[in-house]
Amino acid sequence: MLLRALRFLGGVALGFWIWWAATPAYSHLLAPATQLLLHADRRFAAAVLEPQERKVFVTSATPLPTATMPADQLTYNIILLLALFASNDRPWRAANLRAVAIALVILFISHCIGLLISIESTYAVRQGAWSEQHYGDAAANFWQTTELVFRIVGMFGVVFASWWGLSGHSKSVST
Amino acid sequence: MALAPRQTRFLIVFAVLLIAFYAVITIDAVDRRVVLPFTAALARVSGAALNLIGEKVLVTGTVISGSRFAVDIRGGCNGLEAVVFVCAAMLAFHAPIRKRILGALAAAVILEALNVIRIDSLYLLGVYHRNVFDMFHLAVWQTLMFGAAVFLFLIWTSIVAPRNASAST
Repeated sequence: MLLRALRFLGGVALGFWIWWAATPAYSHLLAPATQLLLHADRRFAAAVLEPQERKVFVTSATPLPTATMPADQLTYNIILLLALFASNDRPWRAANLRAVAIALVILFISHCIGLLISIESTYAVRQGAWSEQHYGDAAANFWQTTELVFRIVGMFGVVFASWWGLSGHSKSVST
Repeated sequence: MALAPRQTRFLIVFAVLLIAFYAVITIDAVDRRVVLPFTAALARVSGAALNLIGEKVLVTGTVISGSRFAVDIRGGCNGLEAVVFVCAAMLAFHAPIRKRILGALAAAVILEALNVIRIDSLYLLGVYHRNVFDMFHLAVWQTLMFGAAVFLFLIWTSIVAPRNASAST
């Protein structure tokens, strides 16, 4: 367990470095993918997501108010993901790396959904009159609660479930 | 990579419990009567530890303040999110209920002890290295807290369901 803990800490260091260094480039991947999802909501049909360093700006040619989303605050769970996979036995073996690749795809999808939830929540409760015009009380509560759940426990729940299910760890003990 | 029905059941129950527990601690009455007093107690313990190492701090409610810096321990910083996480995982796991409850209680105590270290280290970073405070507050300590929760879960599973045990454990 001590060796596993050391590998975990090594993974934290690697994950932190990747998160810190890659976030600006990753935003260029995250923004257009999330924009596709966002356009499914008619209120955001003309919204454009522009990545800029560690943030994503929501802009539009329509009267949609602008907003700034701190994208890096939605993606730092990659540190825990890489640390958990690094803590596995022989982390460089092909099966583990394949599991990491699949988990990264799941994580990317969860980041798109996380950014979508954050945008919906921001526009539902933090855009003054525009929010009141376009969201009812129930919808505003829903998006705010969903954002809280995602940011406090959901983003780590996704990481844990991906690691547990994909790393083969779940088969080593009886659940 | 396909999951066995038991593993699938574990992940589903884990997700349901995680959301349910988190929903409970965000209820206004629970927040007022349980979470806030608990957070204030956590602030007092953390403040006492800081005074013990020579930092002169005052604790008012959930705020720890010194002459150069102050921290306000809010929801998300009181360690309850990691406690909820590990409790959901342990209670979803197939093991005798007594072991699940004991494991969850022990994990909660250990995680809150770790959280005192987190709060004190963040206060010290705020005083002496404020430029890295946000980074540690957001990314490093959150990862370590949830990492610790996962490790406690793994240690516990190795006790209640060792690798060589039969599938009926």
